[in-house]
Amino acid sequence: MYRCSQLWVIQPKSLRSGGLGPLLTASRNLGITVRVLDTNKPVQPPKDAKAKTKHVAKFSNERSYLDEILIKHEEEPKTTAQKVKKKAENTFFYLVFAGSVVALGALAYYFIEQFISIDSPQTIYSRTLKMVQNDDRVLDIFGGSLKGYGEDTGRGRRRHIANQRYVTKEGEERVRVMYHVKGNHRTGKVYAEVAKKDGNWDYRMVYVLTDDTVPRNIILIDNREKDPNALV
Amino acid sequence: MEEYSREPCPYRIGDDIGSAFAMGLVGGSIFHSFTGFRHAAKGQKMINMVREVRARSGLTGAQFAAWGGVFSTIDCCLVAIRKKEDPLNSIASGGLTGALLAVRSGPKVMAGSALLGSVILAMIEGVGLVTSRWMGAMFDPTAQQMEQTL
Repeated sequence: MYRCSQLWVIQPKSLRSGGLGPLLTASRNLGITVRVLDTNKPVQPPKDAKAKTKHVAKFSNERSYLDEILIKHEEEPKTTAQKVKKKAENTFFYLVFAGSVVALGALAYYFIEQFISIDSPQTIYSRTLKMVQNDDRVLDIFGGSLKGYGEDTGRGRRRHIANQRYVTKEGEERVRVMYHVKGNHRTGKVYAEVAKKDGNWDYRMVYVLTDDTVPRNIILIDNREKDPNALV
Repeated sequence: MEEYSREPCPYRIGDDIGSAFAMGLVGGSIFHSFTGFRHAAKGQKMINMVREVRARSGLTGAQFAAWGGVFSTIDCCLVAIRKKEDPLNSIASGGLTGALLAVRSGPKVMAGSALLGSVILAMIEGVGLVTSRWMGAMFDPTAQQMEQTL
């Protein structure tokens, strides 16, 4: 239990008549010493205080004692050399700050672009996975509750989606993506490809291959052009 | 060999706890040795340093391990719920971990901690994505080759 042995009472004039009686009886019962400070007379510091201390702190009204003693304020640069040094330090800090803001902005841009732009592997993976998880033939073959994942890294996280971005002979840009799916009965792979036609990215094909010895394929979307010179 | 590969998920939690503890232990030892050295009186620097490392760095390791364990558990839970492995899972896990580990300090601190956790995870994910993109561009087989004269 916290017990204070002394109680200072700073007594304004209004309370002088009757305020002190109950306090004194309470103090007698609790073993607390009561000292009364009369605010009429100002407090004088002991006469020999200044002679003892080497450092005379300037106590002013705006800052408290603890502020003055504990917080160390840097000196303002007075000479030209000090000013130049301080300005060089400031410039360096501003440059580092600007550089880090730029780096963070670039990181944020690339990161958000991964999730929003249509030709990024992540978006293709998300959308085709939704397509595949709702398809009847796929659910029939794989057993329900289909789960999608990417390539294995050493640490066990499988976030990387295998992808390849290429340009055909005719100059068409395509992005091909491959990821794994796993259902209750089987596992398999999903291959999806988008191509850029007249400025829009469109699905060119989406198909699922099971991982058996004789793979079965389920074709969800097939938008490839029929080549007039093909044999098949 | 896919027949012999196992699902990473419950075992990943143990891996992450272990690696987080190791990181916290080593990093905490270095950090606390510096602090112990600085705060010591003049003749007792080494003793203080050793004492500080012995007392504090295990605790730092345990705090890191708590962070890693809760993060990995929430990540596995999100994968099981969403049925999809995604970088978004990691960011949400980071936010929830920050919130959950600050549960004793009230809702405002929880919200701040969640924001900090998800921002840190987003940065880690972003760096991983950018690295893999640049590495992929280096090894692209369809990139234009420079003409080589023998």
